[in-house]
Amino acid sequence: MDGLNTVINKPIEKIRQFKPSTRLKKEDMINLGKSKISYNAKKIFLYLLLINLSYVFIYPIIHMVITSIKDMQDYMDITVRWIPNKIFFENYKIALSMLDYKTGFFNSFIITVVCTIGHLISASFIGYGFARYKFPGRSFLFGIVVFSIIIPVQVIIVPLFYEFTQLFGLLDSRIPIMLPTFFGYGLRGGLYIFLFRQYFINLPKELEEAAKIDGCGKIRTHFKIILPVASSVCMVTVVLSMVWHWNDHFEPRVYLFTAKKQTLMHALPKLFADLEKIKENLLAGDRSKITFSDDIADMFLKEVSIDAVLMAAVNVSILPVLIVYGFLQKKFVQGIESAGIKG
Amino acid sequence: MNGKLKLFNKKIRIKREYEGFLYILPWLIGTILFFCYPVYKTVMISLGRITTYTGLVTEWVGLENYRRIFTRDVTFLPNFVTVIKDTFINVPLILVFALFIAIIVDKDIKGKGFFRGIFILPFLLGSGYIFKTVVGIEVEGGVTSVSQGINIPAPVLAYMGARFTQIIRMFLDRISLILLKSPIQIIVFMGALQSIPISLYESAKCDGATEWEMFWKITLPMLVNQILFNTIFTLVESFTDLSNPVIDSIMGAWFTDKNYEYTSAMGWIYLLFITLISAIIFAIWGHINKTKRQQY
Repeated sequence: MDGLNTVINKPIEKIRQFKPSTRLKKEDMINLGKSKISYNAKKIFLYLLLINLSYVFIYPIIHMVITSIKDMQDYMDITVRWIPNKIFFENYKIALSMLDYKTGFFNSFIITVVCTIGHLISASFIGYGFARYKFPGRSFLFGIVVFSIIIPVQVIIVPLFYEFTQLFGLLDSRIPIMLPTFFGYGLRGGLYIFLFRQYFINLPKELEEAAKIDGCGKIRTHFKIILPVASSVCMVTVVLSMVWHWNDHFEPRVYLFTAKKQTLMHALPKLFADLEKIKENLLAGDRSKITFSDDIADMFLKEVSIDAVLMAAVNVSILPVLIVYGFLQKKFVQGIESAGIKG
Repeated sequence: MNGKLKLFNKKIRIKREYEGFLYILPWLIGTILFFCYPVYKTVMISLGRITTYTGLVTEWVGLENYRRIFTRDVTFLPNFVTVIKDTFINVPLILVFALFIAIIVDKDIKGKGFFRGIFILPFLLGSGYIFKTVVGIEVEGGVTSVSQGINIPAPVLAYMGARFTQIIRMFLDRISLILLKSPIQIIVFMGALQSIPISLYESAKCDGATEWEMFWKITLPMLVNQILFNTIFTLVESFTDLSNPVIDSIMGAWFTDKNYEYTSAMGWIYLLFITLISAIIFAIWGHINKTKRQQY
């Protein structure tokens, strides 16, 4: 089987590496016969425009990072906008201890990984089935897939909740979030089916037929041939599913209620209310409900602004996604480009 | 002989159909468990009154809940109108801006990867709570702060007055929010733009086409599928967005009021609207693909 794998992968690899030595760019065609000055002026304008636009995109992140290292003084000072007078890391300490970062991270991690795997496997099988086989009622069933994409979870959450808690007896469990992903549902599950189906419809059948003639079973063909060939769509699915599950706070909020099973995104909205309460308690001199040490508590009263702590908490909770995305970015973008979203 | 062959063919066909069903079997199970049952239940709840909460047993009352929404509720209709307005303003704008940015980045510039990396950032923040916190933490002042970095020069301010500034700010905020909602769309368009063969532009150039004509006659027709995909994607995103007031009120009613019958009815009215729009878009999609096939 490994032999077959390399035989299949080799030509694809070669095609990917192939680059003609002299290649005209689209720009060369469009700008053919124009003067150099107007060309340069246009370019400078383009760069300025791009930098301006990227400011809008990068603004939230910069705002978050900068605010998270401000202390009370800098935070209140209007003149301090981008560069704080001193870097104040206590915000992070407080945020980490109040978020219960370890449990939160662990829970988010489990849900994200399992759900992503579930979406990958289920959507690839189902999308393949929809693309390759003709059976009665196919277009109607695919219509249901599309309908399941556009229907907001919020509309059907109560019956779902009752179904899981009363019929299946899954109270305060992660399974209601994870299980639907293995059946092509869950958080926007239909979208991945849609993507895989569009990809497989345009894919030639020869590879699978060759595998079949060589005596390769259906499931083995799927994992050894179809998934590697569709690796670009797989990448898109993995990244989208990962980011959305990590950032989702609606389903965890519905299904999980003990602090032990809280995800990071679930804990964030609570944090703000908690912070204000703690500050009130501290001002009143009540130190019984504080999770961090006394010297930080002293500091909390004088120097810490609640918004800054909140931003620090937001930062640490999206940091894992940023890091993982940093590793996957190149392949993800390539995936969207090469797989394309084809109609 | 012929009859035997027919029988054989039929057997093969049935076997293939059966195999196809095997592939989508998990989805069929999921549809019954996680789609048909909840949807059926919400319909029943929206048309009835819950008598026992364990098991959600309902009593039929007809369109009573719907009537209440349209006759008594003071918040739903304005919210709904806002959502419809937002949908019709934001979705086209998101598409236009995404295409615009994709075209700019697709030009022959340095640091493509850098800009691409920046344009995806809002997606990583998610459309959920974080986005709301970061963008909305200063919303209480009346004006969102996304565009606060853009300073309007003091003389202009003094001359035009506060009203003018406010309008400019609102305009910039709206555009910034729209830009922040369009990272995936930008990436999709960028991918599609790169796959348009250069020879098309080459021949157009030889025939004396201007850049403007090239955009309308080559770029746009080649992007039809991506535009339609992005439209659906943007719609889905906006429907489940947290800043969507209808979804907000639905969620509020679920969690705090526990008025399930009423909320289900609200959900269904909203869903009807969503389905209508999506159906129109898919009809357009099908029509375009059909005419395309006829042309070739």
